[in-house]
Amino acid sequence: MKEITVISGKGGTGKTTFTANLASLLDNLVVGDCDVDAPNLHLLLNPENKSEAVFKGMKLAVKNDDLCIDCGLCYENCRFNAITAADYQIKNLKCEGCAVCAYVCPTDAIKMEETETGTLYEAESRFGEMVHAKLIPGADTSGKLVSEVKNRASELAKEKNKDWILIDGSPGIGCPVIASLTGSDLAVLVTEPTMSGFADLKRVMEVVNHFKIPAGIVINKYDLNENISAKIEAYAAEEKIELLTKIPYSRVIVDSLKKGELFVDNDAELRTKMLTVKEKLTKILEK
Amino acid sequence: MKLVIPAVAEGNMETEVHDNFGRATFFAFIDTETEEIDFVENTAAKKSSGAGVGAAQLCADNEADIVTAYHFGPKAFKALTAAGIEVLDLNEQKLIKEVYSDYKAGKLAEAEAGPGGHH
Amino acid sequence: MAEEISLSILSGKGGTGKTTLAVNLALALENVQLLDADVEEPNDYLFISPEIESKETESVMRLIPEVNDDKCTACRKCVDFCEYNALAMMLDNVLVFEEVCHSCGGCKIVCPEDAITEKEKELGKLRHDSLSNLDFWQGELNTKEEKAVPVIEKLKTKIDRDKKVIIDSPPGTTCPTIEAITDTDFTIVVTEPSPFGLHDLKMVIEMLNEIEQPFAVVINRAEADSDYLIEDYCQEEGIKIILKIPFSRKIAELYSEGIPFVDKLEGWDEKLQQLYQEIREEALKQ
Repeated sequence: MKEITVISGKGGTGKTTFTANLASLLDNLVVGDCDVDAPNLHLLLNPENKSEAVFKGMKLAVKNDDLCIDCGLCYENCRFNAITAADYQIKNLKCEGCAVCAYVCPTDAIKMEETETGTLYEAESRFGEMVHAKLIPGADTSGKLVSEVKNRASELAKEKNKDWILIDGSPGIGCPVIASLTGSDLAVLVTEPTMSGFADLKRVMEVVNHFKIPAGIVINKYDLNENISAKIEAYAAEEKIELLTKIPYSRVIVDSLKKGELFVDNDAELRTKMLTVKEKLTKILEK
Repeated sequence: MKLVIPAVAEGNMETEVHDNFGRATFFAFIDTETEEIDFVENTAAKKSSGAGVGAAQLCADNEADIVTAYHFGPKAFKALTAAGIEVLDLNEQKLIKEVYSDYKAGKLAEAEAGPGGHH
Repeated sequence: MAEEISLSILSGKGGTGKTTLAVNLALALENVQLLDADVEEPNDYLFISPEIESKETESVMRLIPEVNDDKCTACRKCVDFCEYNALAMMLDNVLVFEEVCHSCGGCKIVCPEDAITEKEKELGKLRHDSLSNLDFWQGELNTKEEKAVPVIEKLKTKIDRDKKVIIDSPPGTTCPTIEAITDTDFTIVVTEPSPFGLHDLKMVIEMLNEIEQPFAVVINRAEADSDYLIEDYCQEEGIKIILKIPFSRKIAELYSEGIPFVDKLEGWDEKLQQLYQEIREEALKQ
């Protein structure tokens, strides 16, 4: 069983579209959507949810007004402006769960309680099982929820004897990406030829390097700026990262996405490109 | 000596190694003299941040001498080495017994700190 | 009431066209202030002030605990109190992990020996550039730092209410986003006509309704045959669509080179000026 994680650094490079199309070409797989901030993969894979579980993240302060004596100590000690000045109410969106208010409260009017931060879904798609999650608004991106999605995906893969785990990784270069990559056998980096895309590619590659796993690069919309594309290719050659494919700025891709369809089903040439990607990935993983 | 291995569940020598140090469900503590194995639940995994540091604290509190994992974040690495704990890297091992036999054969290399998360 | 209004520009995720709109709108207007609050990935400068790194900066600081080993009795109260695992007790020494510390000050409060003091650490920076018609501020989070909110709070202290204010806010629905849009008169949500765009738009709108923020929608990469994806939803929900930026290879190419499209495409200056006036009237009514 091999695990591939698709990441991008910058948002909007086509990471999720790429992942969905690759998923349709891999046999016997489990898919995990670790882009928990903006989970979109289910829109292309249309899975049917089989079960869901509430995900509890951090604890937040909860106040019992009956015990409150309006001393204001909580307000004075809160560093996050999470307590209103007028009537000492807790602003959930501002509370960071540090528990200082609960500690300083002389009447034990404030307790720390675990709150729901999201939902974890197990689903069935036409390409295989899928695990995905959704955060509630205002909840902070959490490496913990990403780990949860990955754990569940890998448990399912073991139970059902799967050959592949395909992970749609988190954007950025912070903690969620690290959690997305942990335990993977290969990282696929989807980039685009823009100044910010290239800069982010290099930053995210630093993270990948620490995991000592092989990586492959996909340049999406490469013909939008062939100058920067050439620089990305040179960078890949220098760093000995395999260039998996270059995908053109294509009408078919845009139209497929709009209809919620896969571009590999609508364009033979693009399908061939993606099949080559699959071959290259298999080869890298055999080494 | 107490050797620590992150584990996916409470079990025995046949139990699988967890791929994430901070978020491991359990830690297997093997006494290298008696070969007895104990499992300690990783309560740090439940915190929303700093799981690696919390896990390191748990290892230190349970008097670990050597800790193994596929990957150590910089904070867990710093905490463990500050406690005088030896830190070793895993690579191909899947089961606890494989880690243990590779340890005995001297096949585990000293770990380096990798990139770490915040949450 | 001030004559001008403040606008925040937002999208469900990165790469939707938020930067494109913020930058072009700012360049089309006069007497305007642009604040880039997307502090994890500030990109506006690429179009506005490519040399921003050489311009004046201001530090944003936060407090980090420091343990006085002479006073510390290794009682462990601070370690046990810290919700973030930012402290560890190793061989009777307290270790501080600055990156995970949330600067809540709790350890200092719980320490019975007064062994903990706090020192300042740079969390991020504000950068500033003054162009002829445009006052540009950028918030920036230092690498390895996670807490964007204090940087955005500090950035917002630079708001000049005599100017038209545009805040390019972080994408998504998390705390930094909410901080960036809170207290602005009106929010523009940028989306694109695809199932992804619609999905992310709904998430953002859920959040905006929760905080009771007035807003309207801009469709980026708009196309006649697919705009209905967004239009149908907005009509049902009674949400106004105030602008469409067409799907155009030219705009995408200009973006990749760091060139604002108002500089190259005719008619957009006026269109964006009109957009501001419409929003202004709408916002002043509320």
